[in-house]
Amino acid sequence: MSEFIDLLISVGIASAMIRLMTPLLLAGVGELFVQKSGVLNLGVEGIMLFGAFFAFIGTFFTGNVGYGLALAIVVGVAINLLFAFLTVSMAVDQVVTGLAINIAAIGTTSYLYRATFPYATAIPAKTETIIEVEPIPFLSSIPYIGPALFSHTVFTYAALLLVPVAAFMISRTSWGLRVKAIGEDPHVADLLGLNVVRTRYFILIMEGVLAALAGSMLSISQYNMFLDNMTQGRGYIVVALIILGRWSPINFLAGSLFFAYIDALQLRIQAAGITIIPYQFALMLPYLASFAALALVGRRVKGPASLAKPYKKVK
Amino acid sequence: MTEQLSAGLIVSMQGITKVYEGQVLALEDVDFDLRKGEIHVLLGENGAGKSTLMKILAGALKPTEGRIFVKGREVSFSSPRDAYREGIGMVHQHFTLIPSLNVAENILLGDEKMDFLLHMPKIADTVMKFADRVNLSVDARTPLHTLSVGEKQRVEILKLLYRGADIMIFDEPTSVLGGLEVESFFETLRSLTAQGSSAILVTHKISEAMNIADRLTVLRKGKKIATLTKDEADERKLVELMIGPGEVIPPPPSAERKTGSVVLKIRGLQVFDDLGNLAVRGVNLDLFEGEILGLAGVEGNGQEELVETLVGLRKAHGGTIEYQGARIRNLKPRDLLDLGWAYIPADRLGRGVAPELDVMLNCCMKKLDEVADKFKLINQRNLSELAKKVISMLGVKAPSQKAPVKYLSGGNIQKLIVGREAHLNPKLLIAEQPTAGLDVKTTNLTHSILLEMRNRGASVLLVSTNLDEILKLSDRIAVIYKGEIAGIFSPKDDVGLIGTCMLRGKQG
Repeated sequence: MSEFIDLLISVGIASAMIRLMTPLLLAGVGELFVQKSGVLNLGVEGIMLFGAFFAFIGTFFTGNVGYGLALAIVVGVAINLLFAFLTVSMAVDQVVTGLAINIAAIGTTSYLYRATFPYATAIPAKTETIIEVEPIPFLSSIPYIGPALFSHTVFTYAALLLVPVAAFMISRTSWGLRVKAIGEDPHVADLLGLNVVRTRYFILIMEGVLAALAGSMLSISQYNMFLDNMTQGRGYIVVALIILGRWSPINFLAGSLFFAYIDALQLRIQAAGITIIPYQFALMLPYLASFAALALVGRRVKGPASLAKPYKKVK
Repeated sequence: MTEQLSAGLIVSMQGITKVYEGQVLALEDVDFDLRKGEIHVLLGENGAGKSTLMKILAGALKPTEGRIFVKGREVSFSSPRDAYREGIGMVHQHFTLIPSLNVAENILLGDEKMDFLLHMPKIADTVMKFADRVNLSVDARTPLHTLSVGEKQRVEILKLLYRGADIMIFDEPTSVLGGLEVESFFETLRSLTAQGSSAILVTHKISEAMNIADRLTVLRKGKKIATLTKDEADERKLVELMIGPGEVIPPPPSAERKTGSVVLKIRGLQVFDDLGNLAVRGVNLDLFEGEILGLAGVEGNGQEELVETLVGLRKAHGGTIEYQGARIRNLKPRDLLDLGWAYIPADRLGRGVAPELDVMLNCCMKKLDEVADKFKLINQRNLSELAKKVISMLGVKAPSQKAPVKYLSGGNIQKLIVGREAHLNPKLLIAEQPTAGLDVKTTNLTHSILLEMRNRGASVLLVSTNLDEILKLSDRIAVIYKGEIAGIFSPKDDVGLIGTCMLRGKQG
């Protein structure tokens, strides 16, 4: 019995949960602002995957995670600029464009990986360094809480800080008010003199940075390698969690905690060698749980009124 | 430019030409000016170019040619923001308000210099003090979607003033207001101009124009026809200027009604609104063959929900609806179409048309069987021919049959809908605000169509907040008040009596 409780609640699982939550938070805060401004970017999944790949490549060849992260960010921003050009400037359908990015991401990264490491199909190529864990002095030595909460990379701390900052930006700043107005009715926002195009571009560029960082967490923080389709739909999960959280950063944090906990749990179930449950079932758990939560709560949600509607200004 | 200032001109637009998308000529060499402290009415029929001219002045559109001077300086606006910097603000026909935000947030959105950090309680306070100062009191914390149309308009005006606008443009401001609200709007307008603001009012309603204007400018088919002072103008002259010589259509003739049997019988009908409140509380109503029954009432007394239930868009909670003796409660719109019903909705873009589809398909969408060939495929030639018939009923002006309907002006969309529904030759027509936003000529034409339908035995339920229209067309008038029928009147009854019933419900 105590083994079972240990499986469900422990310092190890809490620490894993926070670690696994980091990419969700980074990508999620970016996507949340994007959706608040009335754009649905399903391509967040693809940008994460590109981010994971290029962070790995940069780090592998330079031995420096800084260069890896920089490369990932450049690519992430470039992809979202393309998305912005198509959907914001050209008013192309946002869902179709986002999905196209995701399909392209899977194909491109898998191909480039094989082209770069022809031998790596048997043994994956590994980077020598990964993003270092930086325990916070004093705080990290608190028993239980310290190792669970205060022994992570700077990106985890940043991601956790980002959530209240995002909530504050949305509800307490003029910028947040303008973003909300643009997401509710871009046509009206335009007539009010708000710059719909510039705001959406800016937010999409920010998302490019954040989602690329989120992907990097997978390849050069949680692991030291790149695997085909290693994001495994986390970008879609982010979108689901945003809807589930009714576009509130704090609710989104709660949703991410939930998903990350289930994710950590399935890792533990695999590691513990519990064979009654096939590991594929454990892998499925987090997605199934999100799906169930969405089905329960999702019916009542009402998002930004103009979400995913193409908007083109009449000249 | 000092001569302009000395002549009291605060705005001067010269030789304005606008060509949309390189082909549709909306304005041709139009001059327009505004004096400080005056109310200048811009009159014209639907599609005359009034809105286009004003959108250019407000920076929402760029002129193809022409020069604009504001306060003695030549300006060139590339966005509404530029126009705001010169003190020009516009209240559009469709309000530029965000329903999910509250009043203070909406007013703030118009202010380009707002602080980065927002302290909402303090801002709400500032807004309310400002509102009191300009005599337009509001509760700044109210969510916008709970306000009435008149209150929303006040928020719009407040927004302009808060932003420091002293040149205000109103596009068809009264088209959405009830009679009392129009009076209070005009009072506000007069007090604003008395305080030094200048206003341009775009309308096609001549009586209103005569009521409020200092000067009037008439546009017709994209050209300026005349500018007159109020003393030089009278209603007859304005009609002629607006419509052009020889095109005046006389008001429709009224024929004696042939009394028929009851066609539609509503008993004890109860319907909830979106918020779960009972909006229709036991309505009993009969509609006879060959009559126009006017449903009068102040907006928000349940007429919207009643109509939605009748046309199959909303579920009834209780009661019965019988059509020709058969129970039809909760039928789908499609079934009602098969029964020979037609519907002219108040919400044109949302319910009347599919905005993204072209004119042709929108004209024919209720008669797709008729344009299909033997394989049930749509025959383009039939489609085009039927569309031509519908278009010619009220003379829809469209760039082409293939143009998406959303590019048509509001009036032309309404013409298309009325034409399409009339062409169905319905046995029963539910017409909701059928002439809102239409010009004199088209309004008369629409009225003739409704009367013609009645004369050949169809039943018409006319729902309108415009009491004049109801009095003019109806054989009987039902007044709805707080979700109940508060009285049935004859159009010959005293208007005061009907008005009292609309405002206070059942008497005695």
